[in-house]
Amino acid sequence: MTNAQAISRTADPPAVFFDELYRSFRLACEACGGERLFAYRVAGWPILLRFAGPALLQRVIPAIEHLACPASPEAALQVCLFDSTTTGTPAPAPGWPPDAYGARGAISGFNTERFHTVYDPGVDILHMLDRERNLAVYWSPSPARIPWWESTFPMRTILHWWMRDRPLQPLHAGAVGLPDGGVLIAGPSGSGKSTTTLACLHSPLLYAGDDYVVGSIDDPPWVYSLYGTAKLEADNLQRFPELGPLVSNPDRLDKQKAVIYLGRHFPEKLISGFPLKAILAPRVTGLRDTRLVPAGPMASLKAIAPTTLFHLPGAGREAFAKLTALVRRTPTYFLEAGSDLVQIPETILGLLSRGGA
Amino acid sequence: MQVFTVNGPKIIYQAFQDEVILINLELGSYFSLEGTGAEVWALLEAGADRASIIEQLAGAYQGAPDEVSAGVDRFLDNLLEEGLIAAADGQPAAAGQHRPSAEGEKPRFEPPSIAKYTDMEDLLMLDPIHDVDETGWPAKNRP
Repeated sequence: MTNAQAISRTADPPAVFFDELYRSFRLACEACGGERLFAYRVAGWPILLRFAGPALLQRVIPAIEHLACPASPEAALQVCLFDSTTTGTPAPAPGWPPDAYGARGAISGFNTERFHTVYDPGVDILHMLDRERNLAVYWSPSPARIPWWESTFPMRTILHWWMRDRPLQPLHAGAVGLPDGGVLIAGPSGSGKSTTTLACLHSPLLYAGDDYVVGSIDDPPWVYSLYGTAKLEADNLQRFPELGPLVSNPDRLDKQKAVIYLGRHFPEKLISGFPLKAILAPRVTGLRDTRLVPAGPMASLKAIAPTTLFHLPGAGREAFAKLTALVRRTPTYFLEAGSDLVQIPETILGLLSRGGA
Repeated sequence: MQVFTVNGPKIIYQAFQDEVILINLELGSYFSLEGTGAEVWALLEAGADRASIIEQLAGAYQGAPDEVSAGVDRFLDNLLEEGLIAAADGQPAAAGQHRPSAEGEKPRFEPPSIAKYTDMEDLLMLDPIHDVDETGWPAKNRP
């Protein structure tokens, strides 16, 4: 590090580090023959992904390709993605000491009003967002270090930060519905979100997501699709035999969930979003039949808030306020999901036919 | 006099009528207040001290004074132990009419209690970064 750099870091360490990181991204692009640009519409906003080299494409694109759109001259967010191994371009040395890593990889001193910075230890990826420029960097030391699950919800951390000043919030929830209205399926991992949403695949209901979607607290509340993936525990796959041949990782089901890119296999079943009519909290009963039991907003908040807040670095009071606003304005039901899967979409369609009430 | 304050900013909470959810953002635990817990929470938020909370609940419910007193004491101690509130010297707010005297029979006293959920705590402890490699970045920590 030069003396000038050291002085600048003292003055505004996150800004200086971000510029160094962005410079590394540009060098990686030069090393790979230029940027590869992909445009998407996320929750109604134009987003531009800028890749250096091809290595991260298959880690990121399949989950969001159903949101692809023509490039906009004014992207609301640009994300620059690169790795060091395949581009031959190192990231700058960290601008922080080794003991600066906190819970969930948040880097002490580098999370300010303007910048968010996390080295997510679960996926070995550095996420950094400059909120002033709506410019983010997603850097991996090596694609080989990225675990399988990242490709099912890539960039969720950056998107969460970027939505902070907007009436939007990534939700750890599934969602199915029709163009004029749909439901959130809320609950932590293992609560039945995927089973419930996939049970609707062969019904008139359309699929917005099984794990993460975006909620909007505008009037009316809205749900947007974010990832066109589905994940199932391997032993749950037998309940959906038609999905078996579509699993993208059939040789790794001893260690991974079955991943199905629904946007590729059922593009007509994906929907970009719908007005939110109700929130359903699944409850496994062991019974055959499915039924809805009215519940209060607290049931929704319990089902959605802890799991959303603790999966997203930096989520706190502001995200909680958005979740509260969403549940306050939306009827809640316990979805007592029975073993006869056909009844699940029938029950949800019945609810929607009554406007969610 | 001792009053209570919510232990912000690490504690966030939301009340809906007779229920309250509290979340500890630092530890990953969350809580639901049950029984008369939401009423006690509303009173302590309004600046009531321990004696005032007991007095108001004793006036609103059927129950032996000792039962109400012990229940409130235990509940406040639990809130303090979990770090959800902090006690401080201060002047309690004037006793309000938290619950107007109901006509007819008063409801039976249900002691306030806390349900604690810890299923999210592991997420905050996941793969803590201890080691960095020669470049200064976290060392590879998975096989």
